[in-house]
Amino acid sequence: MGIAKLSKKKLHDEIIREAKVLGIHSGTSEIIADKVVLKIMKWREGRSMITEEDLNERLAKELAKYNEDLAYLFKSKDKII
Amino acid sequence: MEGLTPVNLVQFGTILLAALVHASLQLGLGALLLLYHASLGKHIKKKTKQLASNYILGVTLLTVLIVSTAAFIIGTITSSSLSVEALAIIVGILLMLAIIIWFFYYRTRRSTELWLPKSVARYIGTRAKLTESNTEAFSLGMLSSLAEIPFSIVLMILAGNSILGLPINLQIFAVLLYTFIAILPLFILRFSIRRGNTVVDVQKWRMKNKEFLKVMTGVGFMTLALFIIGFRILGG
Repeated sequence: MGIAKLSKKKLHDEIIREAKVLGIHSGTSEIIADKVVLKIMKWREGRSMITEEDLNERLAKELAKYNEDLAYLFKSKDKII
Repeated sequence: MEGLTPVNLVQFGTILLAALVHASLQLGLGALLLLYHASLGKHIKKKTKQLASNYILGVTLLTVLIVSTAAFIIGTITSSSLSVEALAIIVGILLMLAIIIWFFYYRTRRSTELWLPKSVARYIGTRAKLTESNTEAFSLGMLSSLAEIPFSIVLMILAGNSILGLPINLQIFAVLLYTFIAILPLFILRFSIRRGNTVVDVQKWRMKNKEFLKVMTGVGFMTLALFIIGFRILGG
C-alpha cells in the first residue's frame, strides 16, 4: 500500500464516481461526498502521513453512515483479484 | 449424441469436466468485475455493456485459439493423441493444482485476492480502469485469460487431446462447447448486472461463497485426474 496523496477535489470526485457505479442519485451522492470529505479532512489533520489502506478504511467507516454498499466499494478496493 | 462410441463419450466427458473446472477459475470473473466497476463510474450503461461484451469476446477468442492450438500441436507431434505416460504426467499436475487451489488460491481469508503476483494484479486493475475502447476491453479479456494460464493450460491441453479422439465433424463443435462452458460465468455475471444487481452484490456473493468455490475447484481438478486415470490410463 502506498502513501495516500490527499486532495479534497480528488476525494470528492472519487466518491461521486463510486456512487455512480451503484446508481446513486447525483444529488444524494453530492451531499454524501461533501459531508464525508469534510470528515476525512478533519481526520487527516495532525497526521504526518497516511497510507491508502488507512484512507480507504476511514472512507469506508464514514460512508457506512450513509450507504453500506458505497462503503463496501472502498473497503474492497484493490481486493477483488 | 446418437451414434457416439463409448470412446467418444469418454472424450466428451473429459472435455466437459475440463471446461467445468476452467469455468470455476476466478481470475476472468474478477477482471470483468473490475472492468464493470471502473466503467460504470465513468460511462453510460450502454458503453459499459459494449466493453463487457468485448472483454468476453477476447476471452472467447483466446480460449478457442489455445484449445485448437493444443489439439493441433498434439496431433502434429504424436500423429494421434497423448501417450499414457504423458497423461500420467498431466494427472500429476492436476493433483498438484488441486492441492495448490485448496491452500494457496486466495491470498487472504478477508478478500477475494488471488495467488497472482501483486504487480500482475495491479496491472490488470490499472488496465481495467484505463479501458475506454472496445479494443482495449478485448485486449483486457485476452490478458486476463493469459494470466490464468498456469491453472488453465493443463485443462486446455486435455481438452485439445480429447478433441483429437472425436470424429472430424464433431471436433469444431467440441472446441466451441468447451469454450462456451468455460466462459459461462462471464455471461452469468453480465446477465446478473443487467438484471439490476450491482458490482457490490456480485462481490459480496463471491466473498460469501469463496471457500465453497475454492473447495469445488480443487475437487474438480481431482475428479478430472481420477477420470483420466480410470478411463484413459487404466481403461486404455
